Amino acid sequence: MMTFEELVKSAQASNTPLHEVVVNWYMLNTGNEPSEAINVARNLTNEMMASYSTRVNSPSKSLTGWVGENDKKLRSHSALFLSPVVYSGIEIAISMAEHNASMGRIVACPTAGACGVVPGVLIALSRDMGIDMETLSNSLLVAGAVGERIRIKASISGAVSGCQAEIGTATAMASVAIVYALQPDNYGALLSAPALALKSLMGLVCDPVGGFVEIPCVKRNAFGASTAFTAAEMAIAGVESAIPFEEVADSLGRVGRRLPEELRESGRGGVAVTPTAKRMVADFTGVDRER
Amino acid sequence: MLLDIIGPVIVGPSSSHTAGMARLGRAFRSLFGSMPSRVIFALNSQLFSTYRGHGTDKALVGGVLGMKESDPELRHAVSIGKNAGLEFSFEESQMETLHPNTVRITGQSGQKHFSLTGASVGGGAIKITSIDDFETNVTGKYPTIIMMNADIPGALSHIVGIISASDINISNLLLSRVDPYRREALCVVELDNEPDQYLLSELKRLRVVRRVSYLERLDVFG
Repeated sequence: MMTFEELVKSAQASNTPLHEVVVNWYMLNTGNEPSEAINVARNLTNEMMASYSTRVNSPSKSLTGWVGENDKKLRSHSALFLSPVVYSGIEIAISMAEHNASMGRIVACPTAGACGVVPGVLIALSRDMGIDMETLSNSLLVAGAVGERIRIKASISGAVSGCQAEIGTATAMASVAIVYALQPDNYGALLSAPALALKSLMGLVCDPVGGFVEIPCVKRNAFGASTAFTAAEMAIAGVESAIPFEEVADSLGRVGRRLPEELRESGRGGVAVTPTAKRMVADFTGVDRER
Repeated sequence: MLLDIIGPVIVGPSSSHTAGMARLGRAFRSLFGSMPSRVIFALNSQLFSTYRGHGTDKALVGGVLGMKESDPELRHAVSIGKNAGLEFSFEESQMETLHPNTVRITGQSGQKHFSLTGASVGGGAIKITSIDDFETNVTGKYPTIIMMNADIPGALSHIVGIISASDINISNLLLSRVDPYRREALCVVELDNEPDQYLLSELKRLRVVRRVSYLERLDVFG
C-alpha cells in the first residue's frame, strides 16, 4: 500500500503522469483494469456536470424546506471580491449541495453531504479556465488517491470523525485536483495543496440541525471550494506545508477519534443545539405530524 | 466506486439514510420476486427519528417498487406507490443490538409472506443480515444467487454442480439453517460474473431447490 507521497515520487522518478501511477496503484489493490478506472472517472465527471445542469434547470427545495434558494441568489449576483473561477466554484458547490438536499441525483464525493466541493472546482475550471474534460477526469483520479489515503488513515464519515472527514476530505481532494489540472508536474504543489487544505479544516465538527444534511452542511460546501482554491494557489506559489500530507491525515484520524459523540453527526452539538435550531426542528416536526 | 472514494451516483440527501435504504428496498423486491400487496417497514429507533427529513420513506417504498438509488423519481415514490395500490406503513422498532441504520422489511401478497433485515452501513453500502429467519451477510458487491433448499445430504453438491457447469467462478458461498427440524436451508452464492437466465432456470429445476432469487451487483452508476 503506497502513500500519496510515494505515488507522487514514483510519478516524478519514472516521468509518468501521476494519474497513470494512480490507476496502476488502483489495479494492484483491486485487480481491476487501469482502463476501467479511466472510464469510470470520465463517466463520473460527466455525471457531475449533468447533475449541475439538472439543478440549474429545475431547482427545488429540500425535504424540510430549509434550504434550496441560495444557489439562485449566487447566480444572480456579480462577485465583488472573488475571482470568476473561485466565485463559480462556490456557486456550483452550493447548487450541488442544495440539489442533494432536495433528493437530486449527485455523485457522492466522498459523501453525499460533501458532494458539492469537488464538482464545484472541476466545473469552475472548465467554465472559467477552459480546462478540457480529459484533464478534469484525470484530476479526479488524483483527487481520488488523496481521498482514499484519508479514508484508510482516518475516515470519511461525519459520524465517525466529524465534518473534517467529509468537507475536509473533499477540500483536500479538490485542492489537488486544481493543481493537477493546471500544473501536473509541479510535484511540490501536488504534495502541499492537500496538506494545507486539510490542516485548515482540522477539527471541524459535524453538527447538522435536526440530523438532516442541510444546515450547516450545504453552505460548508462553498467554503470547501474556496478553501481548495486558496490551498492550490498557495501551493503553486511555492508555499510548502511544514507537515507532510500523510502525517496531517493521521492527525485528522486522531482528532476524529477524540471528538465527543455530540459533535459527530448526532444533531446534539454545535449549531444544532442553538435556540433557533431547536425552534426550526420543532416547527418541522409539527408540520410533519400533520402530514 | 472509483478508488473506493468517489461515487456512487445516487439521489440525496444521505448516502446511508436514502441511497442505502433504496438499495435494501430493491433487494427486498428482488427476493420477494413480485410486487407485494402490503409492506411494513420497521426502522431501528435512531433511523426512525429522522426518516422523513432524509427521505428514507420515499427511498424504501421506491426500492420496493423496483426503483434504483440513482432514480430522481424516488422523490415521488410514496405517491407512486399509493397509486400503484401498494399498502405500506412505517413503525419504530428497538433493535438495540443491531446497526443503528437497520430496517426490517416484511411483505406479503396472498399466501406469500417474507421478511428481510438489513443495514445501511455508510456511503450507500448495505448489509443484508437476515432473510426470513436465516442469518446472512449479503453486501451486493457480487452478483448473488439466493436459494431456499432442502436441508438434506447432497443438496449443496447438486447446486454447486449446476453452477460449475456454467463455468462461472463462485467467490463466496454460505449455507445456513435455522434449526434441523425446519428441513430447509438458505444458500447464498456470490459469483465473479453475472449468471444468465439459463443458469437460474437450471437451478430452479433442481428438486432440492425450492426457491431461487437473484440480486444484481450494485453499481457505481446506480
